[in-house]
Amino acid sequence: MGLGRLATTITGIILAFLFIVGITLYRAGEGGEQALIPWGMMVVGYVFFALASGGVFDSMAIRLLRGDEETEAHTGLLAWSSLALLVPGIILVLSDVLHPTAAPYFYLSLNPESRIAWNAILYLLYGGGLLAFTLLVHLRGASGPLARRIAALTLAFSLLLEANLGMAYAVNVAVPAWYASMAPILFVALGFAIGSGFTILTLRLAGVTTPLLRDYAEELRYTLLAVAFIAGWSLVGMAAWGDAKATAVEVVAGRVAPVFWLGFAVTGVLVPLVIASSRPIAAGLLAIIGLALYLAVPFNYAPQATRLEVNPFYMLLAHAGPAEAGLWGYVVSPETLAFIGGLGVWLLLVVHRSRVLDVLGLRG
Amino acid sequence: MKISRRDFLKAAIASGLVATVPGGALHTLIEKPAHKPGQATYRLQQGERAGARLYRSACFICGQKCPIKVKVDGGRILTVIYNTDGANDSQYACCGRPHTIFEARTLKERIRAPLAREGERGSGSFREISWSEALDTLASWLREVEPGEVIVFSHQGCESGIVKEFFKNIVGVPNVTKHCDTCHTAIDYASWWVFGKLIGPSGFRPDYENARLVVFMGRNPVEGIVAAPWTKMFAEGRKRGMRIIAFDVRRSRLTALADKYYLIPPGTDLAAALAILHVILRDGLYDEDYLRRYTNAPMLVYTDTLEPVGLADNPKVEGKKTYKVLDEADGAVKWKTEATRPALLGEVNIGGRTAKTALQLLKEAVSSYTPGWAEEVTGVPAEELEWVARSLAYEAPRAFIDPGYKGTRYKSEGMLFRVIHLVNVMLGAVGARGGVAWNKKPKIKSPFKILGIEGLGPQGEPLYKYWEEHGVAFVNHKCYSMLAIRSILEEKPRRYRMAIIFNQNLVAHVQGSSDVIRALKKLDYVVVMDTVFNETAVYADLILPLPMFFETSSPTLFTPSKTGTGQLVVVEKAIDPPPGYDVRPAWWIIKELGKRLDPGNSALYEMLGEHEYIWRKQAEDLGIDPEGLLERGVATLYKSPIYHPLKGKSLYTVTGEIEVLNVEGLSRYRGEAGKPSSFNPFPAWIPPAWMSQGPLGDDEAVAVDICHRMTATNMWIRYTRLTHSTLKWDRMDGVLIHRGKAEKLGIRDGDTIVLEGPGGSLEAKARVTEDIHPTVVLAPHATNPGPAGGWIKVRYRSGEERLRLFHRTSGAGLNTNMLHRLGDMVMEEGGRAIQNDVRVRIRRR
Amino acid sequence: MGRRRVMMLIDMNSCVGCMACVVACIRENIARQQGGGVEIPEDAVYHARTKPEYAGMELGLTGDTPIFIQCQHCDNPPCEMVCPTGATYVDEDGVVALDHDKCVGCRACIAACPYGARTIYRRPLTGEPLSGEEGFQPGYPDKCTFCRHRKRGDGLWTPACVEACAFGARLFGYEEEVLEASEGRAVRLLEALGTEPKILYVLPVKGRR
Ligand code: SF4
Ligand code: SF4
Ligand code: SF4
Repeated sequence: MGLGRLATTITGIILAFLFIVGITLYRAGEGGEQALIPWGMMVVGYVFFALASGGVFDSMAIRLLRGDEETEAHTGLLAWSSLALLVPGIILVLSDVLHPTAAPYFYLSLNPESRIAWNAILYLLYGGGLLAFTLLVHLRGASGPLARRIAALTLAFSLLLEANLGMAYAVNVAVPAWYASMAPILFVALGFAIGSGFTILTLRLAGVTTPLLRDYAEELRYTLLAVAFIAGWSLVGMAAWGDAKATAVEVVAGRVAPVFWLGFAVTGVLVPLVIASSRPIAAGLLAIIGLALYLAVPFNYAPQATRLEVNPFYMLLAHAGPAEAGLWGYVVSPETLAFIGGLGVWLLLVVHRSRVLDVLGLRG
Repeated sequence: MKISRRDFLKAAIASGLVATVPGGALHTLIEKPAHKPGQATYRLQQGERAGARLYRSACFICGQKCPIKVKVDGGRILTVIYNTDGANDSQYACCGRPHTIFEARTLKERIRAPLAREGERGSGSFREISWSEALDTLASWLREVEPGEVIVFSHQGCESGIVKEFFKNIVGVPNVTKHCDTCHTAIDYASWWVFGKLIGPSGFRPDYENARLVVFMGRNPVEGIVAAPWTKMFAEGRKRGMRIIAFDVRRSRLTALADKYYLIPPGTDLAAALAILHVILRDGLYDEDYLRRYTNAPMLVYTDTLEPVGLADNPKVEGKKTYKVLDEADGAVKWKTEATRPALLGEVNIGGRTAKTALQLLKEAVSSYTPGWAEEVTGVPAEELEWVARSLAYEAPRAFIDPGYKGTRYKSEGMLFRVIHLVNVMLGAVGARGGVAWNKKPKIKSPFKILGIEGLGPQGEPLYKYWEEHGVAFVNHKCYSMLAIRSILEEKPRRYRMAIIFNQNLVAHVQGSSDVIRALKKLDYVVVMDTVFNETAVYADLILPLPMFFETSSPTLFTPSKTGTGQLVVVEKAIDPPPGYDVRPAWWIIKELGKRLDPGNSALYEMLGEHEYIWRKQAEDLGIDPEGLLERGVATLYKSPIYHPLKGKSLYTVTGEIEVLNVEGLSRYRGEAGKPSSFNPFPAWIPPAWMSQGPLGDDEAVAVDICHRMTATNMWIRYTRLTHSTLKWDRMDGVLIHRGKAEKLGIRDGDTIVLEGPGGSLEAKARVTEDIHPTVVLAPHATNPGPAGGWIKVRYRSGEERLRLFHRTSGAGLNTNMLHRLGDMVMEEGGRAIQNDVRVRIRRR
Repeated sequence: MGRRRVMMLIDMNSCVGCMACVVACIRENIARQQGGGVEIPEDAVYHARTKPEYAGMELGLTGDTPIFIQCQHCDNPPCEMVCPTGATYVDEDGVVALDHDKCVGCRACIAACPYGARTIYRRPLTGEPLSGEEGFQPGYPDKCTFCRHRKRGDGLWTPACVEACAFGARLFGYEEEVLEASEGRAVRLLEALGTEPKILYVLPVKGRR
């Protein structure tokens, strides 16, 4: 094992350990009160990993369907990476919900009005498709018509899942900044952007330095522009819409503004845009961090926190009830450990892909 | 008597019991009384589990004794519902407090067995002893000391009446006192000036139900104690259009319900009341006919000597005097009984001396108390005060200023309630429907009388006699707890050796807690009977633990009669004390003590356990059907309160009338006229004590304690997590301090602060708010244990237990008595307390 | 006959804020009495299924208007819409209920409720409250059930808070009866959201009448 691989492996193990610690602490009830900010960092985590996985898969599938040969050569790797991102995502879903043993009711007692119910189905469809596709490319390669058909179908599921995750937010009439927002389209864009970042990293980890890396760096730039545009447009929309205005103000000028400006706008968008062609790996890494921060704070936290200031009932609850932990408590929590730790799972799976494939007997 | 479910249902429907609940809800609201009332003997065993049973009881958390029903099953309290006779439902209610009883049973602070002190007094160490040892000890102490060396302090609790009677009449203790001197004495005193006798707040019934406008000063019938039926009438009144104007130092439920409210500095209500009286007199807004017929407003008084021009036996009313008036019909001066139309205002010259009518003198006395003047004192705009006065006059006589409940907060309070009475008199509201009616209270024959247990009566002079000879006026002969503490401290008129304290948390409740502690330490024997450890119990030598009120049946009927219609209530045991709790009710203690001290009457004492027998006799004595009472648990004796200005006959004054200038007061205290004195026969401004000490510094405030909707005076309820959680929800789990003041002192919400008063200091948690007047710091009463906050160690037979007061809650609030000194009592008004009239210094710890 | 829906009317003119209903609700649904002890969660009033507060302009009300924060049993409940497994559902009486077995604990219902009706408690509690399975359970979103565990047979029942109120401020019954009793004076909170609450408030009458 080379030095680089060793270091990556150790990092992966440490992160994976944090993943387990975070989940354990959270499940032991260290998550605190969840009535005021019901959706914490683990929700962000599973949304993030689903978008990342989908994003990696989406552009790979599109390129494959367009007949891009270079992509075809790396399909196995990218599908595997995509799967490796979905794994922590699904673990986080099942860890975040307080009663995972009731998960069968997602399917046995499905409520078709519920976006989360559709998430459960789409996770299954997308995950199934992705798994089937990955197996197929590993066993038979990516060139046959079957692989293409599965890729097309899974692509559809993936896009639906991304949009549907956004809809789970956007249906909340009780959270002004989410309600009827552009979250579904934003999530698709985020998927592509985060996915580009992870694809770049995956290729780098696998030692691939072909022009494909450059293509993805280019794609990262387009998709970042799309994300920035939609995020900005959303803010303008919020600022013009009653109670959501408080969230817009909070995001651009309030307590979470540093995260928005420095974390998202500068680190996540501006810098990667500038350096993408010269230093694609750094650009990919920064974009991933910046977009994760965006999802975590301006997108997930700020609307819930500002609802405590604009919705009269939540205002009273927050005033008289047990103290709400605030941004600091939201970020510094076991849930954040679990989220960050999830990267370790992906890292280990990608770095040790061949070993895992051997164990599974999947060398075609 | 057995009644079938159908009969009961019919009766309930007919009585309107179910009126507020739509049809289908009947079967849970109405229970067939599965349990026959009356449990003759006290069972110590866990009750049998025979399904849910409904028991009739009364809440004793505050002094009101609201009738309640408690449903119990298998050792668990299922529900608490107010009990009602149906027909007079608007006068039956219970508040939120009794709903906490399910938590109360197992409070950590509960005393679970008789205890004897170990180590020094006040060290907080106790060991369990047996009941026979406890009673033998108490009996031997009582044999050793003379009755005159004992002081019995009795507050509330189901059997305070029989405790007092037993010690006074049978043991012969001359000093048996209640606690009104730390509660409502100033109100009693004010009544003397206008109605001729010390009349406590329970003597009046503010007739909210029929009122059109009520002004509240120093009374909150919504959150206060001794209130639930009044609260219900208040709610009923609001529904019928009663308007509310409130003056208070804080925002509260009352101010939220009020049509208009004013936050004023503490103790300045008097200025507002004087201005209202000023406007009424200035503009002639009073009820002339009423004043002529029922008051001495036309009485001619010489201006030089302030004597009535004439005073002679009233030929029409036996034992009462009449006086000279100016007859407007012919301009002649004659006896009121002979005049056609006595003049209300004006002056005459009689033999070279000027005489004026009482009303004229009153008008002149308040002429300088203009709304403009009051604005400077209270901050309430003058035109608003004008408006309040005019509104009252407009709605009169169905309008009044509430006659209050607590009256031992500020120096000025005796005068405040006098002025309030006078305003109500001017409006013709006293005795009017929709005004301030008179209460009717039944006399329940005591169990001792019923059983024929007699004693020699008090052996010796009560201590208040001494104080009356030494400058204390108007002592309420049933309430002199502060003077008693002084007597112990100063050994006047003699040395005292023993205190028996029944359900009365003296240390927390009497102004000057450290003085009380010194007094207790001087005694040879301190005996406490209570349900929970408190600030006083830690100084006891012997503690006799009582059951909670719902854990015992009572040997006497009660009258929660502050409704004015003579309610009666039966108290049955609803549930046993938790297993292993060796507690006994007061009647049982007295029975056993009686047998020891008075063995000849043993058989009679045994009868104290025959509760149903006693109830029946008491009911018969009152002329009501015992079956109906026992079946229902409640009964209402009278149709209505007394709607008559003179209580139907004549009042207790010299003239038998309402006296706008008290004839006796004029003769006793004419020298006080024109002074800021409580004895001034005329209404006068008396600043609260804190105000006369100059302006408040930035780090100073007036410490005010209030009654919160889930606290009561000195009871276990303050220890419950339910109460604590409510306080927390209300952001009152500490001491409220105004934002402006807090900012100046660098105090942030949640900080620990130190409050220093002349008599002691307290550590508390700051709750920064804008809902109070900037001059005050404020919290619910007795929410801070002060020096009694240390560890209590009890060696029970079952093992040692360590606890603190407020064990599972916070105790970071306030107790103004701990900041105060005993010596600041108001001697003019029976040696009463001024519990909120204390300046404190505030700093961050 | 169509389903008969229940409703509650809270008359804030009669309500004096005494807490009887809140404590009764805690006793019935939240606290545990067992083995001679009583277990009460921290911040019991916050977790009570009805709690008194003051609202103002934000609700289009004037000044400090007393209201209760509690589940409004919306006829068109956002919480039911977002619940993936149908754990939150509207029962045959119109009560918005929770089937604990089906609840996965995703907290979407908490996020979705515009009335702040749902709380959740993450510390351990042993035993059961008087209301048994319908009672407060750690780890589950909790809210008012209209005390439907008290229902026997087909008839109407009396919720604990209604039973506890000595001031007649709470009225519970079938839709027609409650609407009639409201005499057209009642309002629903946040009506514009289209949630169609089944709790009606009569707001305090104030000012110069
Ligand atoms: S008013 Fe007093 S006696 Fe009546 S229920 Fe409330 S606390 Fe109990
Ligand atoms: S019990 Fe009745 S009066 Fe008391 S707070 Fe509840 S609704 Fe209001
Ligand atoms: S109906 Fe029952 S659950 Fe709902 S608030 Fe009232 S007591 Fe609580």
